[in-house]
Amino acid sequence: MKLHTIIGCIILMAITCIVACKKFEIRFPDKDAGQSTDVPNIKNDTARYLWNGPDYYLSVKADLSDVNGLQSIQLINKEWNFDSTIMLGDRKEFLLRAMFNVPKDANKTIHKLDVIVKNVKGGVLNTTIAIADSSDNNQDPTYDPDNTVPTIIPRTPTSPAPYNEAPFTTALKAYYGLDGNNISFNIAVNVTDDRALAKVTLKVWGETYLNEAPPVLVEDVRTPGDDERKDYLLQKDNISLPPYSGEYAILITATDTSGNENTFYYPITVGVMNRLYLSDAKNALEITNQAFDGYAAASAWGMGTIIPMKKIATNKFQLLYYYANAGDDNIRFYAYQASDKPFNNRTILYNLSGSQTASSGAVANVLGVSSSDNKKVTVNPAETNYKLTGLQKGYYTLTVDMSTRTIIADPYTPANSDWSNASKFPGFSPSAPYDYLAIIAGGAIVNSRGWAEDAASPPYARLTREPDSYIYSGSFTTAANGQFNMRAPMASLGGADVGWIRLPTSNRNLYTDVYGDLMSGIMPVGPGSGYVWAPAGNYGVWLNAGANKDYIASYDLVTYRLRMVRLN
Amino acid sequence: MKLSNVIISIALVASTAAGCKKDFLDREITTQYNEDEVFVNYDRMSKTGLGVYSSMLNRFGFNRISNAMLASACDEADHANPLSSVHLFNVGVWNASTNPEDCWSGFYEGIRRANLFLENSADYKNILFRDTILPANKTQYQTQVRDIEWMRAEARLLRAFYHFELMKRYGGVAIMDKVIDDEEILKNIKRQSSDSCVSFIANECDAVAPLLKDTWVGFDGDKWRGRLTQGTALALKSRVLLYGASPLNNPSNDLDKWQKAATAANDLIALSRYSLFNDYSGLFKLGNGADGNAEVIFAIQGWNRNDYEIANYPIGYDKGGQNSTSPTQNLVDAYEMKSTGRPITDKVSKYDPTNPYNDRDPRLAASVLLNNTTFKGRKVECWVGGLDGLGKTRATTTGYYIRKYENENLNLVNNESSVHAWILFRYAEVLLNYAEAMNEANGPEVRKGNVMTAKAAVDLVRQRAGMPVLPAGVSQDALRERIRNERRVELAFEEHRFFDVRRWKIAEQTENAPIMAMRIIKNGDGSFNYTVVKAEDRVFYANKMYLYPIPEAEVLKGAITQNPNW
Repeated sequence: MKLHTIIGCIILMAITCIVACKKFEIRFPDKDAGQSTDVPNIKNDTARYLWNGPDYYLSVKADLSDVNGLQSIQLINKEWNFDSTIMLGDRKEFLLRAMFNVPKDANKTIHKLDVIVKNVKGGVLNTTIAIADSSDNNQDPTYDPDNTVPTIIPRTPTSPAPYNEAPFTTALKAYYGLDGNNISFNIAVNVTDDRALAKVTLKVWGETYLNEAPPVLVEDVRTPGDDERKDYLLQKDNISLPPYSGEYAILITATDTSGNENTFYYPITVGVMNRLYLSDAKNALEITNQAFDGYAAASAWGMGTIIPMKKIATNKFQLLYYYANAGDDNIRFYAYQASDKPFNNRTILYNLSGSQTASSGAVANVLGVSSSDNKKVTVNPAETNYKLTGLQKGYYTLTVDMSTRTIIADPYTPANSDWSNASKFPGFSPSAPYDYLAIIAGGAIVNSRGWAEDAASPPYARLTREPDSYIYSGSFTTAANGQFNMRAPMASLGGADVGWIRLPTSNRNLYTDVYGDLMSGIMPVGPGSGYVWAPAGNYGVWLNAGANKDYIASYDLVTYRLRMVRLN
Repeated sequence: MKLSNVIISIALVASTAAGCKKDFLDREITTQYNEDEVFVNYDRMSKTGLGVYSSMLNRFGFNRISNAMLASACDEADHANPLSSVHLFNVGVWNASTNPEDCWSGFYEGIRRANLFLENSADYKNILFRDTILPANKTQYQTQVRDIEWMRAEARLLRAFYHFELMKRYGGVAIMDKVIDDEEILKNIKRQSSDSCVSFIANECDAVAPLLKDTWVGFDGDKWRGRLTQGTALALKSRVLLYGASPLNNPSNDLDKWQKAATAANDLIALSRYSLFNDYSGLFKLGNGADGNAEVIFAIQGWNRNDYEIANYPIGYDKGGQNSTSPTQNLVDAYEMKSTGRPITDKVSKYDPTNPYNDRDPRLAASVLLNNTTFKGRKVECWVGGLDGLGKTRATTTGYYIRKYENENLNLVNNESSVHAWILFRYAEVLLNYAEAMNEANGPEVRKGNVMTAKAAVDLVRQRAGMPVLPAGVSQDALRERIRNERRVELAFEEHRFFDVRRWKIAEQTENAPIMAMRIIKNGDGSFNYTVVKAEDRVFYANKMYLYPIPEAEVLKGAITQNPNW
């Protein structure tokens, strides 16, 4: 490049800088030496960010000129990902008046537009234009946006059928699906819009967990007629779901002519259980007469013949259980979905055949281990004798999968870290367990006498160890209303206030079971901690059926399960 | 001695030794002992096994790239110190000789450590038997055999992990599953395809998972916490298969790859061993207790330090703000609205640009220190002219400071410090891996016999954070975008985003977009005006930067080919 050319460029740049509104501009040639390095001129350049109708625009104005001929103008804004080039066809002047659609800014943003103008000789003008933000007000004074979404209203039940069901809500609808029959239901909703509906779509879809049946997919797109544009009734009858564990959804989508959209979503489960209980009530009496702690909070339970199993995954439940393998075993699993459960404020809501549930009314939610396959559980009474088929006496970790309707029983070697605690189990060792547990009831139980075991005049009330186990069982009769405690044999106490087995906290502040329900089960607590009614102390469970009531009870030193039933 | 201390000691011993003579693929690891003196008893053998962990040091985590975090090399953050080499990434001037995060030799060194240990300890039962020959030592023998078997499984998994770390940066790499000392053989070793690397790593995970401990928590006085577990093997398999299925490594979109990735994540989720912690913010402040948390699958144990707080406390705090990692407006805008669960760009999101931090995803305030937030007893002043505001040297360049990982209770004047662990695998990531793979393979709301749908997995992560679930009926394309955004906010600053945008092949958009900042003006009445301005342009060349360049010195040695256009 020749010197005079460079000087010329510098002078031209200086002049252009002055003329072009004090903008920062860089001009440089991109052609070989010897070619013209004159750069295009730009003046009256402005840029605005506009809101017009529903969209946002970049408006650019500039007067371009070049004595050699204009080749192109490129406009760049990186934050909008905007890059546009206009070919100018060698003309010597060009009045740029352009509008470009750009995104709406989420935030108030300062933008600049990078501009590159080239002439046919290779001269390049680089400059920036500040973009004025005029987007606060819409440029179209008549713009009247429709920002109202359609409404979707589950239809109120009407008579006659089929629209006599409870209206849909957004709450989960759960079906037990245990009876083997398909679940069938109808849908009816009203859809309205203040201007005009464009379409209403219904989609029902889902699948069983284990693919026992084909996936469900119902799709229905409706276009409301002219007289239905503001109020449309969507009806769909006899939608059917297979009776296996699975999840489904109903989705109704309403779209108006402005593109506003609203949806109504309704989840459904079939055979998805929130709770599973094991019951070993030998007969109906052992259900209706199972014991409750009389002083416990109203909904407390946990001393009877039903045990909650811990939910370890979707539809999968687990329990450490001692199986007696006796002739009168009657092991039943009660499954519950949603918020259903077997008790309501000490009211027993189940019997040997099933439960009265809040969500579905009476339901045969009872399963037993299959008589022919001890890895299966079944709801069919003809296929089960309600025993843990094939298992010997002992402890097992039972895992029930309600999706596969299977059960796994893993043998468990009994152990308990509390046994080495001399306060809780004085004089106890796994190889030399207590022969019995004393019942301490202050005279409320026949032969319980005072507040310590009376060894002087047997027989005194006690639970006796079953052979080769850590289960202590027996029977007793009440002398009056009063509390029930147990304690290590007197000979093991060494005169200390230890070895108590009772409510681990105040009976007004019980602990919760695996489902969060209050539980009145009793545990080794070591010292008696005084006979405090306030929440700070531990206490015996309170039996308030009166005198001359016969009970059977057993207590498990591995699981701390107290099983108590009143017989009369 | 705790594991972290053992590893640091081993690393120090190694660092005092003579330099390497061998090629990068088989670096000589010198210790105070010769190799034939190491594998003679339990003590030396086990320390060598633990030494395989040492290649993790400074490869992940805090302030590791010229005092910057990897977040500052992508659209998550800008590093306030202009002298940091991390800026080379952002201006596009890095190359095979100036890669600010060149990990090639470091990870191959770790691989050689693993191979040396595995080959020399192969006869471990006889070695241990010789050393415990007395009948009275039978129990000790059995314990030591068990320990070495665990370590051998860990060494194999570490070897697989190091291969993965190489693969995700450099593409297909040479698979080194044995010690090679012959120079001629080494010169002729070639790179494998990314598919081959994925298969090797996934197979190794399968092979060692049953041999690993399920947890080190509560074992042997807790002194071995921080070692790999079964869960780590499953999580690594999930991650590597996801990378293998992603557009960068799966240009034909082979759905079978996505399905395998989904199955791998499903396998871990189905264990029901892990769960989401209910305190998102607290999750990153657990110190070396992190691996006792049900969400944490594997965390690198740390030590007492305060350099992270010195770097990232706002500059107006005593001794703070020395190397600020400044979260970008780009990232801040990615956090959705809490009440509506919608992106701020959605017209019904209820976003108010005049009050931009109100009603946002709670993870925003947990990860990013926002203007006017109370922090260590006073309001953070990110406004222009404020104590912590733009304009001061090394102050935030974006109007934000990082908050994730920070111990907010340190008195830096008194040089107080605390333990910082770096979580490498956590359950939320696996859920998002699962969601992404399931969505691609099967769609948003299909289970196909797995534990949950893709949408349900994302919803779990969102609900833990206090966010609404995604809308039902979401399309596959829409869910893909939501999952990508969910990873961006959930895993912010955890060294995922940098690689995610590459494996998704969207870096040419995200890494070429300018970094935006929030300019905050405080008004006389105490209110603030918020205006977004451009902080800097960034450069990403799509023709080459999806993969790192192989170090020039290594390419010149033999058959290792350079990545395209480097």
